[in-house]
Order: sequence, then structure tokens, then C-alpha cells
Amino acid sequence: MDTTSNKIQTNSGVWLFLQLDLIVFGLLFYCYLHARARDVHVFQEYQSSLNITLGAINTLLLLTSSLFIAQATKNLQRAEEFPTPRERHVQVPLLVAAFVCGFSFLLIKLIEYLQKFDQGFTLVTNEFFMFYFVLTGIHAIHVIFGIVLLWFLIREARKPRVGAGFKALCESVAYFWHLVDLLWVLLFPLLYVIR
Amino acid sequence: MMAVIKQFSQDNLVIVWLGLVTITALSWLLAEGFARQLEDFLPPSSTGTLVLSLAVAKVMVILYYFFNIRTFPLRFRFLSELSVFVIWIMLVSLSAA
Repeated sequence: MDTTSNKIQTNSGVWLFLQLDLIVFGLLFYCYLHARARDVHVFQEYQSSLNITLGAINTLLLLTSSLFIAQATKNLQRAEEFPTPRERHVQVPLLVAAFVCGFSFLLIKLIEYLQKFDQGFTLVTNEFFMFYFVLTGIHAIHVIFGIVLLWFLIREARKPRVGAGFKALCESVAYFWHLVDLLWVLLFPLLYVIR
Repeated sequence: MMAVIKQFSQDNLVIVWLGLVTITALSWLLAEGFARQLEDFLPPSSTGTLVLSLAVAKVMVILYYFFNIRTFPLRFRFLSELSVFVIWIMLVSLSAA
């Protein structure tokens, strides 16, 4: 069996979780577009109140964090089953950079939410804002979970010795983070861009 | 730190990232009024299709280069590509409705 097949088998639980997550979001996207098609004028009117620049900055932050994590994983793939402290120390700044990008994403999201609350828009204002808060809220929970995983990974990478599962853990966290990025890449045009 | 910079300079992931940033900038431009100029040449619904197609193109790039599915078995790759294609059809048909 080749290494990629092994990799899929090692992370099979993670792949299943990612696929289920993607299906749930796919259904939510379907519901959103279906509701939008029913009441397109209301959706367009309130969509224009969203700050596209903040949405675009958030997209760039997640893409950049994914780049850092992809680099960190690539670096680890070259290493043996038990990466040396030197190999792991190259990883740490990349993981910290990804962590900072993820945290900045959450701060910007919080600013956006506060702006919307100030303007009097909440979850119950109308159907558009119901979808906006639910979709971005579930995504933000994913980002928080991803940040916690990254923090854990940084702590592990700094230890003098790591267990046998460190490499697999690193790959699993990277896959989860890329999914968070991928979901935002679809959410951004759906909520902010299509007019 | 030098090891990290060296790794970045040797890798094509940075080029992939630049491509993704360019597509994001294009989507942002489309949202910020460039779409209105395009509508002189194209029907209004095609702008939405264009924006969603750009997003799906980004998803494919993320799958290929960040998830690295290009190194995965053919069956797995085909399933991923098929899912993205189904999502693209669903998004485009519903947004145009």
C-alpha cells in the first residue's frame, strides 16, 4: 500500500468528520440559496449592509493561515516518524503565524457582529440575518476549535520529546484547518459578494 | 527563522497562495461595482455565476495544493472532484433562479 493510502487510513476518522461537516454546510448553503431565491429583493437589500472589505480581509487571513499550516505539514512530511526537536522547531513559527491569522479572523468577525448589533440587526431581524448569523456563527465555532487545536499543537511541538501520534495529529489539524478555510471561501461570495 | 524563509523561497505553495489572493481580489472588485460595468456586456445573472465559479476554482486549488489530493488514489480524487462539481452546479443553478 502506498503512503497516501496509508495516510487516508491513518486519518480515516478525520476524513469522515470532514466529509460529514461538508455535507452539513452543503445543506445549509442549499437552504440559504433556496430562501434567497424566494425573497431575492430582501436578501439583496440587507446584503448591501455587510462590509465586503472586512469579508475580503478575513478571506486573506484564512488563506494565509492555510499557507503557513501547509508549509508546516510539508516540513514534517520530510521528517521521520519521530521528528527531531530541530525539525519541530522549524514548525513552531509557522504554526504561531497561522494561530495569529486565525485569531485576527475572529477579532474582525467580532467587530462585524458588534457593528451589526449597533445597527439593530440581530438573528431575528429577518431571514437574511438569520442565515448570516447562523452560517458565520457555526463557521466561527470551527475557527475557535481550530485555534484551540493549533495552540495544543504548538505546545506539543515545543516539547523535547513527542509521541508516535504527533505526525498524524499534525496532519489531522492541518486538514481541519484547510476545511475551515475552504468553507469560508464558499461563504464569502454567498453572503457578501453575490448581489 | 532563516530556515522558515528558506523553505518559503523553495516552495511553489507561495505561488498557489498568490493565485488564491488574486482570485479573492477579483471577487472583491466584482462586488465593489466592477460588476455593473460588466453588465453592459453580460446578462446580470452571469456575474453571480462568475463569482461562484471563481469560488469553486479556489476550492479546487485548496483541495489540490493544501489538502494535497493530487497525490491521493484516483478513486478518492475522483470522488472529491465530483463533489465539488455537484456543489458548483447546485450553487450556480440556485443563484440564477
